[in-house]
Amino acid sequence: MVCIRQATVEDLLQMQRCNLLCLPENYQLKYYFYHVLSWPQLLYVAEDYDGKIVGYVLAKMEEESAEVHGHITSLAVARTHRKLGLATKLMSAAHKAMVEVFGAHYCSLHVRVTNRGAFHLYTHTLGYKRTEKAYYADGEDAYSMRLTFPEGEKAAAEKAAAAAKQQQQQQGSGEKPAAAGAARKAGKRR
Amino acid sequence: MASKQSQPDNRTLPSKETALFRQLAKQYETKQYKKGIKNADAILKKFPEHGETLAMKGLLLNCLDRKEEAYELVKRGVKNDLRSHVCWHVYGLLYRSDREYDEAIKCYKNALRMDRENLTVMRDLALLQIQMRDMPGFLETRQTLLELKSNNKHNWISFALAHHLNGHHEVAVKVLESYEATVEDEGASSGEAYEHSELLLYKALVLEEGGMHEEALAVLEAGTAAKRLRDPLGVREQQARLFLAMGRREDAAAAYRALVAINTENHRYHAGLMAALQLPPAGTAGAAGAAVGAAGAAGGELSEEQRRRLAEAYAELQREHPHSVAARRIPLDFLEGEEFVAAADAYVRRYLLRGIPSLFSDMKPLYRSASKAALLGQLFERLAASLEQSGALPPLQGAEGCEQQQQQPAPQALVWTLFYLAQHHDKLGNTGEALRLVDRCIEHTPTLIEAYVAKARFLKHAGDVESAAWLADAARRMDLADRYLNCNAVKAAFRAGHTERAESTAALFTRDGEQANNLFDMQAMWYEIGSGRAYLAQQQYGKALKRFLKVQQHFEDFQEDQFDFHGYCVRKMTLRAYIDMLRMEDRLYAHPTYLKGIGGAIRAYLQLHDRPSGGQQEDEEALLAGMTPEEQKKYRAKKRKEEQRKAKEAADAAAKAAAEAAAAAKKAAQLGEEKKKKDTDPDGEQLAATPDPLGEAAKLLRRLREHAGDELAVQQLSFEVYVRQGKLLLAVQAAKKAQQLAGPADPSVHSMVVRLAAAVLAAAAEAAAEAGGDGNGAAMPPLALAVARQETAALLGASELDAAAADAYRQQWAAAHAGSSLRHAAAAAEVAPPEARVAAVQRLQEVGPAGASHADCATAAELLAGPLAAPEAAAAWRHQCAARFPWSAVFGGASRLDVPAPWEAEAATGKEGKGEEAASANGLAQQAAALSLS
Repeated sequence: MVCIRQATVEDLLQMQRCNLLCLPENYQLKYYFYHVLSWPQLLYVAEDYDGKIVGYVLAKMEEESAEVHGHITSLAVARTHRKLGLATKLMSAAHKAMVEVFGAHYCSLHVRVTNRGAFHLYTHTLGYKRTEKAYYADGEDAYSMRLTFPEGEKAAAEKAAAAAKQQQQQQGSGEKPAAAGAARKAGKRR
Repeated sequence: MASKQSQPDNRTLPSKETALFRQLAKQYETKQYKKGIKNADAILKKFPEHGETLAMKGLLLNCLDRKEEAYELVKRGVKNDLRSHVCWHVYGLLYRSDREYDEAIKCYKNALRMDRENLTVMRDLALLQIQMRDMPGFLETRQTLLELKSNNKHNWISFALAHHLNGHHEVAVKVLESYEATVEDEGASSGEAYEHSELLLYKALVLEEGGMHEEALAVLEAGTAAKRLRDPLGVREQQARLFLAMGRREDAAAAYRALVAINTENHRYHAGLMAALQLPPAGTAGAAGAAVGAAGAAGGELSEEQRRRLAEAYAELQREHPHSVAARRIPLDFLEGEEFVAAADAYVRRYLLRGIPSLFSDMKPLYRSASKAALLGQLFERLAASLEQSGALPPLQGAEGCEQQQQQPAPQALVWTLFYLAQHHDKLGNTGEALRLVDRCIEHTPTLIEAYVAKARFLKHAGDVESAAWLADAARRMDLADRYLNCNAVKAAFRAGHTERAESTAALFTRDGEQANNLFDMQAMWYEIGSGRAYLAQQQYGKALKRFLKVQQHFEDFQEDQFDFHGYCVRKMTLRAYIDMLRMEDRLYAHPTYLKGIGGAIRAYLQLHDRPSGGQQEDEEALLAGMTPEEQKKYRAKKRKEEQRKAKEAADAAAKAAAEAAAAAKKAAQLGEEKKKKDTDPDGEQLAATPDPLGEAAKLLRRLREHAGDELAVQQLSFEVYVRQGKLLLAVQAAKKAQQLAGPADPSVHSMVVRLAAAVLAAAAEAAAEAGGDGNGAAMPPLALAVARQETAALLGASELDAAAADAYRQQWAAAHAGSSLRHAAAAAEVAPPEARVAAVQRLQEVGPAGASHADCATAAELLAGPLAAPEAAAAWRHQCAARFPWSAVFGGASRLDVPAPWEAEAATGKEGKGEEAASANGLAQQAAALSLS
């Protein structure tokens, strides 16, 4: 049995170790600090009975973007702890926090084209959809993927409705798109 | 003014130059360093002694990495204009850039003396004070900043933080509340709402830590009612914690039940619920218990009543959360006997049917109980037997009467059951059975990479690091894209001493193949420690030190990392996480990885001291003396090969270095300037050439002792260093603390106490000789000697320290403990005086290798051949161990596997095996064929 819980600053060194053992994309500890000190609710770990970190998800919010959304920086589960559904549990926990705490409409991530296992997890288990092509720092091809949350769909629907309504009004009165901006803002606020 | 213009001093400039100065200050901020220097030179041409310009030019040069000139100029600037706050501020910035924070703080304080209300300097000073944990100073500075600028919200928050960190919880809360009162109606955008939520939750945390539980709870309740809290999980966790602390057990139980419902797999919630039910935390894991503050006994010491209530609580949780793994695994910790077996049976089936490889690691903690280990062995034997006979698992135990409930055939379950059993036997030290079973797994499913990894681990435990490395590499080649397998192979190669093979294997996963740099940049400490240990085992002290000391560099960077977050977190308002970070940083050097790295470096320095250069020849003779003729032949052949290889490598390396130098020169020319400083001592030769290895080791010990003094290993290392340095009072402290930590029966404590007594007696004799006029003036001062004697006597359990007391202690300890384990017997033999050695060696042989670990047996062999100078006993011991560890390469065991040699000599490539196709069935069949080892 593996414990799934929110990560704390105390976990970061072990998360970094887990990342270095499992994945080719690595980061300095300061980058982990940056995540936990910016979005403390978005980091989760899987901890085995002896207190060893065997999996983690490192996530963030894209704050500059027009639409509030989260992004998965890194997800890893040690080979020794596969098939337990840890990745799914970690991802679901991060998704939930993105919506609850930050009001995210969707979550994005990148995955290497060659990483079929991860691709399968994201599409079939978690419901991510491919968006555009992306690239890794080492030049390898990647897919950009996105999972829209129900809250995000609702907001998008409201936005569309508002836009349609506004269009009607515009046809009637010739009003300028100031209101469209307001609608987008409302959508952003959820 | 006019007179000053016509008569320039070192302080003032005419208007044209003042404008230039302003320009260069701006250029510093916008990082246009070269332009800034040009402007500074223009001013200095006319006013060569202008203090502030000199200082600024120094600061600009510092940014271009011209340190020496920088310090010279800034110092001159300060000297020429002692009353300028700019000069002092610049001097502080210079020190700060070199992480000399104490000096920087002094400079900032001087700057503030010249300009009391300079906000920039004050903010910089506050950052340094919090970085250095000068809490009263930080509070004072934050107070002045708030007084000067009370309309800035960050000044309010920082002031509250300062009070919190100084333990003034109530004041901190008041400050937060007066700030809140001024911003009641803000918080419209989502970002602001989050900030406000974090601020309220920070206030609740301060209240909780200040023991004001009611008030903390009220903040959470009011915030929830007003829909101002954006972290529902954080709120619930804190509420539960508060209920528990306040003794509101029913509320606490309800709160933890709700949390378990949200996340059934969080052990901390389970531990909290058990605490609320006034039951000891069921999990044996320290992590789970620590969350609520250990509230009771561990699994073994439960009363019948407690066990019954725990079982009831978990029966209920299982009903409520049928999919919870935790709710079914935790009861295995507290159930016993029949109930345990039935629960374990039900629990493990899902793992076996779905082929989940981590089952054994999940059950491993249960092996602390010998009876549970035996029961698990029987259970899995039963499952395996049924699977072999009928292809299906037997009906569930405890489901009697439903015999008709026939289990489905499960073809893959057999291999996973055997896989479990193999690890079970390895854990119990039955290497033969473990290998037999894992070979069956491989035969059954040749594509099962986990089986190869496990087999490598078994062989490591059995004392054959060579075969272990080879098998780990075979596993790696079966899935080249998996970095976990790669790292596993690297670790095993290091352990087997194949440093180059390990390095080339690791390089397959680092950019540009520059593995050392990339792994260093990414702070891969597991790699540095593994590499350092390998080089230390080969007595390549320079390289070993180089690796181990990188761990120190990383930790210093981790400490430095917090700097940027002091300001950042106040802006982001993530204050709870920030407080966590400060506390984590305060404990940073107690981290086990730091101890591993620095411990390695200290050991390297100790060995350097014990074997000064030139002693290599003798070492080899001693090594050869302990070998059989056959082994000697092997050793010599290996050495010859090694020398040939090294010669070739040296030639290759020279060619490569020349090519690299040319490439680097070209690159540097392209870049215009050499940004990266070249390492002038890549192999640590200068490190290893230190004239005072003990002094270096003592420097490293200081921080370790301060932060991790409760680790026995730290006290052991301290003792070894101090006793060699003749610093007997410090050695006394180390032995005393070790005795407190591990108890007087611990073998390492015994060794320390006996050696300490001998050293103190020798020092006393020297002092006596000195008093008689024969000494060399280096004797211990009388007062210190008296203290050392007294403390050592106390460690011996005697009233007075003399040779008789030391002897009596040694004999009593040997009589009481030497028979209890190999390590005890070895410790008794190690410190036995020459006349008692024969008996001690005999004692050690009587205890024998049965039940001891391979590593302890190898240490005993070295002890017999080396310090105890008992070659016959050593040979007999090796013979005994070869029978006990037939797979051991160290003892030349009969069942040792043959590894195709020299597999490690060539560099690893990503295309070995069949490259990418190695994952195909065809590739794997070939691999499997190559791996039939018997």
